[in-house]
Amino acid sequence: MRNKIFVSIFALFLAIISIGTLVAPKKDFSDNENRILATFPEVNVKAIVDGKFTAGISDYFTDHILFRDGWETLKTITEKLMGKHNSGSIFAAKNGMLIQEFSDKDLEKSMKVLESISLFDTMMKDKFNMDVKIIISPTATQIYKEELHKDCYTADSSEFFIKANEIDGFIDLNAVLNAHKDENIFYRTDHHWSHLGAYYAYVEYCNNIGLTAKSLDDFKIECVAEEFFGTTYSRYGLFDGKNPDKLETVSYDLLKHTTATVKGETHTSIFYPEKLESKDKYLYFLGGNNGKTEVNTGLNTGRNLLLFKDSYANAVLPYLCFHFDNIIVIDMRYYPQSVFDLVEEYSITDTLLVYNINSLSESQAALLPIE
Amino acid sequence: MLFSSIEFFVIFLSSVILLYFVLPKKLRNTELLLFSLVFYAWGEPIYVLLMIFSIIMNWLFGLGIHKYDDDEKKKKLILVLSIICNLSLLGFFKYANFAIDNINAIFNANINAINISLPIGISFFTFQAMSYVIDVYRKNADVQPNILNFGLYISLFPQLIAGPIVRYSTVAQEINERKVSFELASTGIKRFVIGLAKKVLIANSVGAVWDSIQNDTSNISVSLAWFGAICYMFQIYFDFSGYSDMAIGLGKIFGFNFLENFTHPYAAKSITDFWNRWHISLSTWFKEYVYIPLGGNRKGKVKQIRNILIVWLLTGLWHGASWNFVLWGLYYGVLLILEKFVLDKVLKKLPAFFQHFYALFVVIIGWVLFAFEDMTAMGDYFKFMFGGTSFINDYTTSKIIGNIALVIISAIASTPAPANLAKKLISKIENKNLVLVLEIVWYVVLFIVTFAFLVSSTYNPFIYFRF
Repeated sequence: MRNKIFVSIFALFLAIISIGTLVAPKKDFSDNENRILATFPEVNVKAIVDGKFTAGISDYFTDHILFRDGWETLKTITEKLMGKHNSGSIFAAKNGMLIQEFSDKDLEKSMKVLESISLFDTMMKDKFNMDVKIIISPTATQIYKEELHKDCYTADSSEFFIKANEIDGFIDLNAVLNAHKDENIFYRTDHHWSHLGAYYAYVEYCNNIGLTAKSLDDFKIECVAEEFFGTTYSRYGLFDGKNPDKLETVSYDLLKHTTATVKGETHTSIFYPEKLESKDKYLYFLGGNNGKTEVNTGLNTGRNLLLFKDSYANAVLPYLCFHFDNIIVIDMRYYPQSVFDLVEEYSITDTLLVYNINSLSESQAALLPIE
Repeated sequence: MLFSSIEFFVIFLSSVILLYFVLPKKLRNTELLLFSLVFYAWGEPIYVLLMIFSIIMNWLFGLGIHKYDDDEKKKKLILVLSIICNLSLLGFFKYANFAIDNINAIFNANINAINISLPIGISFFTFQAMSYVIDVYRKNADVQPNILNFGLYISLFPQLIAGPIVRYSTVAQEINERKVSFELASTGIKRFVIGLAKKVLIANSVGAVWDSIQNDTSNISVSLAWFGAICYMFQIYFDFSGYSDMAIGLGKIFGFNFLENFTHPYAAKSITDFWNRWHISLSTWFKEYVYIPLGGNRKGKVKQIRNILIVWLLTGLWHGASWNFVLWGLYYGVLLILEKFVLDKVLKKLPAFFQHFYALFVVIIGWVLFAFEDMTAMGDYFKFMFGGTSFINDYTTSKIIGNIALVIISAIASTPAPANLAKKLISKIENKNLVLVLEIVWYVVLFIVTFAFLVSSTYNPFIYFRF
């Protein structure tokens, strides 16, 4: 009897997982992981002989196993029960935030990129007599260091900011972000800062270049998505469920006359409401990251901004639209060309860099062009 | 194909089991053989031909020896030929490039490396094939006239790629005729689940910790170096013994009874004890087919020492074509000789705690020898372990705190204590139905959690894909 029970349970499991995986409808795209899932491999003699076919089958079943997301969540729950607070380079902090890891290796790479930023700063001064302003946001691991559990090691970036402060035009956000850390300046389930974090960066920038920063009320901040589960949630697979993020920013109406032009195609407004339907609602800003985006604000201030950035700047851009006529947005990860020509081409008056220290470390990110 | 892959469960295991129990008995061996060939070909589409060649060759050697049963000379000639052929195959595919490297280094020569990769499991199936031919020669086993049955012995998928090395005499009977039963199958399933959990839950987790420690030593401290070595010690045990458990368990489902391969090696009190508990099928193989034929301990102490060193040089080399494995093998050879002639008497007088401590210390040092093929990296790592850096730092603390629970669980799970405790508790519960329910819950939860880890370890998000 007891033996029959064990055999039946095991047989039942095999039957469910096999038949279920084979017959269940297949998804092409994983929202959680933000990637295209494997398709069934082509069957031909060559592929079979060189092993590509079996490797393809392996990928296919790995991507389409029954209850795929459920298994991932179960794993994270088990790890949490065992006292582990990090999974897939995401830290689950004491305050419920899911924070992206920042390791010593990341720091090392960021330090290297900082050197080329410094060089770029000097070159812009020499070539165009332009004062480049540089904003590099500290990581959430830095700001919320005491919220991290003991098993979550984070690199100490103070050395980085000491070096950065030696560069002319560097705007240090550590003080202001620390002062406002009790507000939701970072998303709890995404690696980006929120509209608030971005706003404080904007205020610092305005103060630095002598513009009068507008107040949050002026921007008529509106909530475009009541529930936003971002990238750190996707990677961690679990969230305590309390206070999910909201996606908030400058009122759409205030910026509906702006245009964003990418590769000759012009989009009305820098906001992409259609992206709110997708999993990654952060794409509401600018629709994502492109090599070069020309933003026209319809103002007539006589000032044009050249903005080098990663996705952190996407949340800052709406505020900047109230101070410049044109903003040329360059993401060096996707813009493998010389950028010095842009200064004259677009009659640039101001240059700003907005990055996060962690994305600086991505190998392909932001190594500024040295001719 | 690996047991810890999704396709193994989704397509392979379910079909092989279903067909096995649907087909009439006389077709079952053929079915298992075909599935085993597919299992091997899955990762090695070309080398499956090599395995088939080895099957045919050794089957013929067996027939030959049987035919000249009463002609001692010819019989011996065939045996020698079979050993040469098997070792040549193994030598070519496993050791050729190692030999070329060394010739180049010693004679300053410039021979190009051969473009071959190591066929998976070749050391296992070659040793199994050799055991068959030798057993037939020694009349420890009958000749196998049916090539399909012999092919099944060599290629049987449960033990094909990671052992245990099943000697032909052990399963000769069961290859021809075996019984399946619910009792055997349920024992097998439980054993398989335990093995899979050992591999996926423990070995993979401590393995990841070890990798992260040895791959980035810029922040390492003495304590972390030891912690890493301990993680590796547990990784290699739970991985290897987990595979053996899975093999033994799967074997039982199909009616095969393989011998035990690991019996709590880290509970050993000496190195001799350790090697009686670690990878038993390999030690037995070397004892049966190398040590004893060389004269074993019957020809005086000098020859015995020579024989032990030869066996351990070969044991080292068997684990991989690299000098660190030779070093690792000889390290144990020397220690075993020391224990045999000197240390044994001393050790036995010490408290048990010291005996365990001594054995584990030697084993950990051994695993560091085993881990690094690059001698410079090995040297650096030993320096870290023995004071070449600070004792502890912030990075170390978070790394150790984050994984200490895992290491403690590994340590407990590597001893016989959990099984003994479970037995004791069960014997105290009078309600047999409750025992059954508890047992079912334990195995189901363990399997489901293991499966979740198995699926998710391939969960590979690439967040920046479309930004």
